[in-house]
Amino acid sequence: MRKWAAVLLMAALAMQLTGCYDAVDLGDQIFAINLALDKGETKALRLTMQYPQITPVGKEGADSGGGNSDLKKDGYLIEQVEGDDLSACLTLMRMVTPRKMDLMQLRGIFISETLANSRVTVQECLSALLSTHNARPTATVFLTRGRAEDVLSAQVPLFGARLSKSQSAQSSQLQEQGVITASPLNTFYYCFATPGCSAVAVLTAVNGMQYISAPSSQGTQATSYLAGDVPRNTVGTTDYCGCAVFGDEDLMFLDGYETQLLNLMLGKLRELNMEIGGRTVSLYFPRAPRIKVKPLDPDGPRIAIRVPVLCDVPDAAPYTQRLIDDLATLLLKLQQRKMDPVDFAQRARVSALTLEDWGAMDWPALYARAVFDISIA
Amino acid sequence: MNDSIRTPEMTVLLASILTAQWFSSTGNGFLDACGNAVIWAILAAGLLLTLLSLLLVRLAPKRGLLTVCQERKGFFLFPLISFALFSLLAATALRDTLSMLSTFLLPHTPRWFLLLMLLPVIGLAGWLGIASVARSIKLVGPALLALYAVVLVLSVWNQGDVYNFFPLLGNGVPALGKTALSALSVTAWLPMLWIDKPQLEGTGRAGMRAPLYATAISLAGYIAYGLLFSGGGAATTTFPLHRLSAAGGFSHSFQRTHALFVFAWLPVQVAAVGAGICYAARSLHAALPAAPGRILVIPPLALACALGFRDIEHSPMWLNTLLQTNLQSLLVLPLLLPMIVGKAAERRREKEARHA
Repeated sequence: MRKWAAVLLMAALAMQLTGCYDAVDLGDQIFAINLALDKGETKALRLTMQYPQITPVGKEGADSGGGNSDLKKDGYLIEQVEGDDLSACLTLMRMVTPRKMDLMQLRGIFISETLANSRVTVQECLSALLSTHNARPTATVFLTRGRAEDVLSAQVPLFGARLSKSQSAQSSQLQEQGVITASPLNTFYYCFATPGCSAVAVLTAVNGMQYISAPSSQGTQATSYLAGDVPRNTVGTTDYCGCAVFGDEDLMFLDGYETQLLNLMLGKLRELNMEIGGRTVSLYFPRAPRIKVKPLDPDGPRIAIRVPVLCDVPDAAPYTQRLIDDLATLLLKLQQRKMDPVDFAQRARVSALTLEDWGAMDWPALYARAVFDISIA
Repeated sequence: MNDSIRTPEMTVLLASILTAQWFSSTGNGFLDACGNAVIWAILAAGLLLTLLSLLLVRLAPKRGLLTVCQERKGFFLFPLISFALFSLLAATALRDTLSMLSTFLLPHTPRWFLLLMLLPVIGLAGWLGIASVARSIKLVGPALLALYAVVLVLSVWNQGDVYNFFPLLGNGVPALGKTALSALSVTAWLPMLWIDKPQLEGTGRAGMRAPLYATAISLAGYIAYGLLFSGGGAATTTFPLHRLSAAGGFSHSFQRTHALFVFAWLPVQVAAVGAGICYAARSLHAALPAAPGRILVIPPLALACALGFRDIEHSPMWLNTLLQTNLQSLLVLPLLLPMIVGKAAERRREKEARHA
């Protein structure tokens, strides 16, 4: 009898672990969907945040400062503050939107090109977001050409009513095509904060729709555009095309086609349309490329890459050769700028037994003179 | 008070406690020292612990450590040392439990309220006895293990990168050696086997299996962590199992990972606190046999609550030092003396019996 009383007592007490003490009403919370970081006009940093406007069913949403202005669009509110650092900005943000702020629903973090040149500020912001403010670790990091706030303001739901769903669907589609990279916040931060590691962000920009009449400069393939230069006139004004690679002191943009090649190297691309002389052929990649790095090879550091390719045309040789040439061009371009988004360093570390050995190996110097050996499997 | 613990229950209880020790309070220290090469340190410590456990179980007298101390004049000090050891272990486990609840589940709840919620549970655990604690953890053990496996697999199945383990030796053999020694501090819990030796049909079996199971479970966790995060990849290494579940594929499937993490980990932590209080109470009873057994649950419970209440940031230096398992394991050394004396007397009696 006493044991049953004890069990009931424990069960009753365990129910308290549901956290009713800490319950927060939905109306007292605000969920940020997107966040933009720019250089401030009066302070060091400008923070822009986008929230869904949660209204009772069947009632019109009450106007809350902004009316029909750009601060309120398609059921989403935009708030903007400036501060010396991210924590100061978020403190101010809590003052202007006096609700409990939840960053666990964050889908996108947009960083402007200008701010990206200030590595220390970006690193501090991202570190604060991850550690202190409990941001969703899988939020995507974008680099914007132009002001990040402009790109954030242009975020509207394309499919259905929910922006988060629309953004996720769009990201999945574009990642499948390979024209953008998967850049979750935790992975981006790790690479950004680690010397010798190259972080990659999705490249985005507002498209002015001017290039449909006067096409912008383009590489050799149909997807060879940078975000903002795509010749189009469609509903959404934001381009997602290409990626931004962060070196230790440098920043480089890759267009859509180069990003597809990068995704191929990372094992994330399954199909690529290659155009030569007006004829387009589909190349299929059944597996990720096999990469072998020999940093201490007697003939000099070597990086051997074997790419498995399938093609359903008999004369595939020109296309596969073109693929090899384009891959080599991309890798040499990255090598010259001392960037390693494919993370060859990871494979080179196999040759070292301890971190001390790895440091003594001086991988950056070896990478700078490594020879790429690319072949088709 | 039910102290009739059996071998399978002791095995599961000890394995759970060792795993909790290796993966919660000391886990971030291991990762900071070794990075992903911590798997070698855990493997080495686990195998050494198994050998040490087997050796010491063979050395333990058949009548049990506390009985030997009770029968010998002047040996009342050793049960008191055992009382201090298990009270400190309970306090450390309680502090970890409160920190975990406060960090992940109830961040706005005052710490005293969390302690108040846990008090009936840990008090009951001490009151009901070690057999009840062990049976409870054995009952939920398979479910927790299955949940643990699900978390690990879902976290890394499409994101794991084996290259994260290179360079294989991380910061080198000296760092691995120090970490392995630090991991060996869980020997502080081994006196549980020496105290309950008379009741366990196969103490050697429990002494061998428990460290091996704990090693396997902890290794699986650290391997999954290493597959997901390269050296220093996580923004913070505190509570590595939680970082794993929050950052990996598991968080794509289950957005809110905090409650599940706590649900899986809390029974293990509470079992550790309960075990510490039970053995501390029994040790005190051995020193004060005239006192009623159940009342003696109160002193170790009060001591564990008093010492384990504050978190690390707000505790004075002496308290943080006292609640380090490295230091607590030193209290095991004096307990070897009654073990040796008891074993020697046993051998003498057996010899006399044979000659007679």
